[in-house]
Amino acid sequence: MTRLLAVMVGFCLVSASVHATPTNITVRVLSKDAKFIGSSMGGVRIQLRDMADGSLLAEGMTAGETGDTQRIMTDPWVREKALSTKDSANFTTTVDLERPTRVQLTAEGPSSNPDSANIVSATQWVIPGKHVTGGDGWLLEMRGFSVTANATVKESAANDSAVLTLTATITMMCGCPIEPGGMWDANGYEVAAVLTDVSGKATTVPLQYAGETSVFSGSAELKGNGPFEAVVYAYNPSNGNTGVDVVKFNGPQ
Amino acid sequence: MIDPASSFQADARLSGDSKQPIVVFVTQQGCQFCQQLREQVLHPMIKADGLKNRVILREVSLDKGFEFDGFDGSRISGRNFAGNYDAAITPTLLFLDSQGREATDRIVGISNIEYYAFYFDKAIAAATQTLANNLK
Repeated sequence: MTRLLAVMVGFCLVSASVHATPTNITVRVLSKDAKFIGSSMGGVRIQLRDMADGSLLAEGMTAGETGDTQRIMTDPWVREKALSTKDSANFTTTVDLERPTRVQLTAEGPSSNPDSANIVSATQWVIPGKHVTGGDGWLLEMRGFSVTANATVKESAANDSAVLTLTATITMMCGCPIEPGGMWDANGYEVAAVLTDVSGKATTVPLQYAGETSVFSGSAELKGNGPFEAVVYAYNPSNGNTGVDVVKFNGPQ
Repeated sequence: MIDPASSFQADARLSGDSKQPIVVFVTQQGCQFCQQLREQVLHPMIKADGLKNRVILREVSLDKGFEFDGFDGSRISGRNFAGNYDAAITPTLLFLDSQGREATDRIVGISNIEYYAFYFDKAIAAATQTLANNLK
């Protein structure tokens, strides 16, 4: 009987020690120098892992709006002021933790443009039952621009030449628009393409704002059939933020 | 495996009836990226029935001697057909409606081949939506 009691007490102690406590975690991903990355960009893929064994605690996508522009971009920031509002994009989950856990958060996106996607990661300790939801929750900053390059070529039979026009649609990672004088001022970014031919000769082709929101274009003479590689980039010299799209192609024979 | 363009007039009728966009794969001899796209993306998608009842896929070569009937029924070379769209670089995918108009942004060249199918699917969806909107 005593032995049975001892086993039962022991079982209860073990049960108590491995009792999992639901713990809420909210993740938000802020585009560098811009707003939250949410549904309009297909969201950001979120993974939460236990660093001790690499096991997956939760995964999902951020969803929701990009947030309040004035609150994020222009209002003075003071300590503990949340940038997010109720509808701001987030991924919220509940993980069952048995013990204080060092959690690794990894965010990859935006999902609507995987060629431009970046990965950002951070770790922090999470205590069972101590929710990580206050303020903006667990906030990450995603660097980069969403860059989608395209090209046309105009051939001239008269002088046997071809003119390549590169067009790039460039937004902040949240999908926020870029235009001259706008919140994200086209004049503040360097946009260009480095066109490299098969010999390795590289030519930089500046891309100018094309008169349509977030669209930039530039032209260069295409000599030979290639193959060519065009690395189209956007760069903000004030903070180093950079985004790239690469197009590999052959010109006309 | 990918049908070369023969008659875009016939394809236009098919597109009008089926509401499927015409996808023009612009290629040329010696285009290594065309081969890569064909082998790693298009053929696997065709084999897996991933394009069945979704698009009318035709290949247009820029090479000399390749001719077919254009949207107006007259003979046209692949080079001139692509030239009408300023698309004489390869590989290019054009997404056309039954009138021969571009229904969504073309895909030019290759970036990351592993994501190509993602962008191709996205463009098919956008082109199909444009065709549906044109009917309203």
